[in-house]
Amino acid sequence: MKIVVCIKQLLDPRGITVNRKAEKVFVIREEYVLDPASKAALEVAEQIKANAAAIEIIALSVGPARVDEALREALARGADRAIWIRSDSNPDPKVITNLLAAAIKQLGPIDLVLCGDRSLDTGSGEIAARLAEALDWPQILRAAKAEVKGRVLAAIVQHSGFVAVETPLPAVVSIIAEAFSGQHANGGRLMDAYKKWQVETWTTEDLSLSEDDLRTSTIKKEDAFPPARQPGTKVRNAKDLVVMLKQEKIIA
Amino acid sequence: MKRLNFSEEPRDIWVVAETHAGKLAPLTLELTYGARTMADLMGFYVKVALSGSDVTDLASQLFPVGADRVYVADDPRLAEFAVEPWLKVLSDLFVSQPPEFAMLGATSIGDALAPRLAQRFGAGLISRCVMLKVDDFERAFVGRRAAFGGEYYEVLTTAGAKSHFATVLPDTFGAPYPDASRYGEIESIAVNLDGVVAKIKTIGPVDYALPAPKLKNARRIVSVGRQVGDIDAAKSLATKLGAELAGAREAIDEKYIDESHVVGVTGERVSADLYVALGIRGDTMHTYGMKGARYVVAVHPDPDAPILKQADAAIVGDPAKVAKELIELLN
Ligand SMILES: Cc1cc2nc3c(=O)[nH]c(=O)nc-3n(C[C@H](O)[C@H](O)[C@H](O)COP(=O)(O)OP(=O)(O)OC[C@H]3O[C@@H](n4cnc5c(N)ncnc54)[C@H](O)[C@@H]3O)c2cc1C
Ligand SMILES: Nc1ncnc2c1ncn2[C@@H]1O[C@H](COP(=O)(O)O)[C@@H](O)[C@H]1O
Repeated sequence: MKIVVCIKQLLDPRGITVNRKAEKVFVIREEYVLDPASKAALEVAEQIKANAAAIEIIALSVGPARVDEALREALARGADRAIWIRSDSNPDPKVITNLLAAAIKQLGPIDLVLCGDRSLDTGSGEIAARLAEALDWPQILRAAKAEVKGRVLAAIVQHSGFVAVETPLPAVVSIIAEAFSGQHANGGRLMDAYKKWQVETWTTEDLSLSEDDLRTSTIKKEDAFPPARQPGTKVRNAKDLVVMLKQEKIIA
Repeated sequence: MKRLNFSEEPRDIWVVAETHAGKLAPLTLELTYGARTMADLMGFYVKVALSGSDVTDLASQLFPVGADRVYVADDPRLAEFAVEPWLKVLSDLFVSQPPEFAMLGATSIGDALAPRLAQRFGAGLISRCVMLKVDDFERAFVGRRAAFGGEYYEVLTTAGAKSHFATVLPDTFGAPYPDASRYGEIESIAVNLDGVVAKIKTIGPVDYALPAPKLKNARRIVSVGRQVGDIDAAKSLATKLGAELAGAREAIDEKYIDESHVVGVTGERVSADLYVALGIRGDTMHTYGMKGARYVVAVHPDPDAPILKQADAAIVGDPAKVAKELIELLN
């Protein structure tokens, strides 16, 4: 059985500051990390593999050369193969989907595709459903957990609880970032990911796509900013604070 | 599939309706009203696609808020939402009447359908808008979407695409002003679900615990940073308030909290009624997670600590001392 995990790399939030007054996002340190929802998807793939025999996990990432690092982390987190789909332009969700779908078709019969439900930075949350459309597969969105038993069984977020759903394979499942356990990548595997294992490179030419498939349909114009936050009320001491908390009915 | 013909201009703004428990969703009314405002600017019609079972009677409620025409797919097989049948109904409708603009709610239904429709029809799509306009010069949607949990927004445009879709969050257009004198037409559409199978089977509710759910659901939180001074005072305050102890990422290094109790971008997003931040500077990575809190109290020795500007109540001072005084006062 083969599982594809789509992973996204994004700007490390620790490296940016947002100045609402200046209406600017300052990139202090340009460092990139694996999107938390993608990490959660990798973790689910690893769990499925731990409970079944002969499962191959293939990590795919669309982006410029820097995504190599994300793919090596994916190898450290249990992926057996990692493929960089080279894209130097600024692809939108439609183009990312077309590239991923073409790669998935080329990889031969794939049973399950896992994505993050929504990425942390400027996530569209569209990729899983778009992939389901491109592949003509069923989709399960917002799963916290997924298991494979001939079919895929998942716990999805609904209202304030979870609902179990199932669908036949092949299928696309998106995993919420909150499902991630916080586990670090295995140190030994991380070393191997850099020293022993390879990241394969595929270009758009390797994937049979039309010009139309690669044309973006949604583009970013600019950033916008909410008004600078109102400064809070300055309180002199604990006594005044207790009065305020009582007034606001926060404590009795 | 039949090719769409966009040479004849459609001149419509579509809204995909949702119903809950036999009523139109408030968001559907809001979107219809928002579509009306846009349509008036562009000289367009507002069309609504209403799918479900026993929904025909609801259609006329869409006229006062701005619909010109409501297309009703009323069929028992559409009683519960399922991706494949709903997609088939909308897709058939949009093949026969290619939409230039279409809005869906940013709900679990909209999130499931809009990306598929956009992928199928090659439309531009702006998801989860908190602001949406038509750019009448470009004839495109321009929308805002939250980045990094709302620290700022990205402004996106569908300019250049042949059709324009968006999913929209509640309160984007505001409460509709109904106009009782408005009227429109209702057209019922033939539902063809031949060969369409809903592929997702719902089994039922399950108990599932996310890795760190306690913090997320906590009603009160005492959160500590590197500058808390005396962790025991913070812990006693938490006990006194019946609050969970949490912290900034830096508090892990000091062994005040463990990984599962971090609030922020790489930790939890909380929604407590009371969030007491003791000795936390208030880096955006941290405040991202605290935004859902109803009332924030911050105590920090440095008057320039950013958290003091974001708190509802801010005290410049020694966090441990303030914590001890609070315990005294609450006794
Ligand atoms: C990828 C990433 C994700 C992050 N996610 C989160 C998150 O989810 N939640 C969160 O709260 N934070 C997160 N952070 C950390 C965040 O950027 C801030 O550093 C942190 O919130 C500050 O905590 P504080 O206010 O207690 O520390 P502060 O008191 O502001 O200290 C911040 C920094 O100042 C220096 N410093 C201050 N006082 C001392 C001292 N006494 N001794 C030595 N050095 C000192 C240290 O360099 C320290 O790291 C993240 C950081 C990274 C890199
Ligand atoms: N460039 C990309 N390469 C591979 N997967 C991606 C890429 N962008 C997004 N994804 C996947 O889609 C999910 C949702 O991303 P987003 O659309 O940014 O919210 C991510 O968590 C990834 O699983």
